[in-house]
Amino acid sequence: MRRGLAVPAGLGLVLLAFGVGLSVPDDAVVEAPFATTGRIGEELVSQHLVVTVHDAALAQVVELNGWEGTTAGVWLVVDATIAARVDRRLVASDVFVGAARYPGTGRASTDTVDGRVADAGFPVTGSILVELPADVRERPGATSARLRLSSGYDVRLDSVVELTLDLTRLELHERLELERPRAGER
Amino acid sequence: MSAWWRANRWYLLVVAIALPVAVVVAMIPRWFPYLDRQPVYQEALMGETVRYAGADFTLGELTVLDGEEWNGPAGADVVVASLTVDVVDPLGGLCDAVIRSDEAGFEREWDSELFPDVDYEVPDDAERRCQLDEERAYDLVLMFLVPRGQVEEPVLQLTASKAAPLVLRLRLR
Repeated sequence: MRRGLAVPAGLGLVLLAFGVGLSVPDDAVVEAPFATTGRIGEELVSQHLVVTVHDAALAQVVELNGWEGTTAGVWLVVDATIAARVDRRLVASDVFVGAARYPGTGRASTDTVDGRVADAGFPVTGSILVELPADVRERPGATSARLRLSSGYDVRLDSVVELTLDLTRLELHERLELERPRAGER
Repeated sequence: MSAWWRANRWYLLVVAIALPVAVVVAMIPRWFPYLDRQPVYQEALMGETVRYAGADFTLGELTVLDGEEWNGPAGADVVVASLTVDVVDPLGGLCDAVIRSDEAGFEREWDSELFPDVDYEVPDDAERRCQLDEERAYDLVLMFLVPRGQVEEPVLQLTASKAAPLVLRLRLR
């Protein structure tokens, strides 16, 4: 009886091993960041950042501290207040539309609230600018684009803030005049 | 059942020993080096002289100044730390200084500012950086910007990479 069971049991274990091997998630899943999620107007706290997104819009041209930002695509303009939580941190932003990632622009120098450092307990209010394709609102995933704010460019297993934005519902401006980051809440 | 335990007692003993040994061996490449890198805190109070990273440090003053009174940036108070540093056994390099506070319910820290936009005058003969590169004694004045009204009992933390994992913390009391 025991010997009769041994072969099917062995085969079963081999199949189980294959199943386990095939079901192991890939690195992107295993090393995914831990996201604090929320909506516009909520204060979202990650391990490193305290973020409140006040508003979001699309614009074809932005003006910021004398710089006229033109783009072949369209600007996502996010008005946000950001502070570090524990210690001095870089603030990095990315927008994910479907499988595509669009980083916050580096073209606006340090006149945005991302791409610069934030200190603990010192909120700074200003804009985040991200260049998106001109037809982004027609692309798959446009209704559930994710804005991610992190404390660096390597977010593996790190703590981040994420908001879901419906790009199809954002107002599209021809030109938006923006203010430089200023100390304090909105 | 007792016959089964008796018949397999030596195998069971081997398993009981081998399992914990396997766990410890698995920890050797990562876990123990990780533990070795964790900071070890050396503490001293204001006025005490303490040897750290080859130098004797004495904290003479650790004051929180009203940011508005000293024309500091909006929303900021200014922390000034004055020390005497006597480098006895130069290890080289700089030491990193931060102010720490747990008054928000968790520990936060702020980096030193070399030339903050405040009216406080650092004496000309005082250093603004903690340097450990040569045998000498000097006065060191460090300035920090902290959120207004949120830090009353700052702790000065000095970290010299050559002394790692030892970290020096200097307190008022």
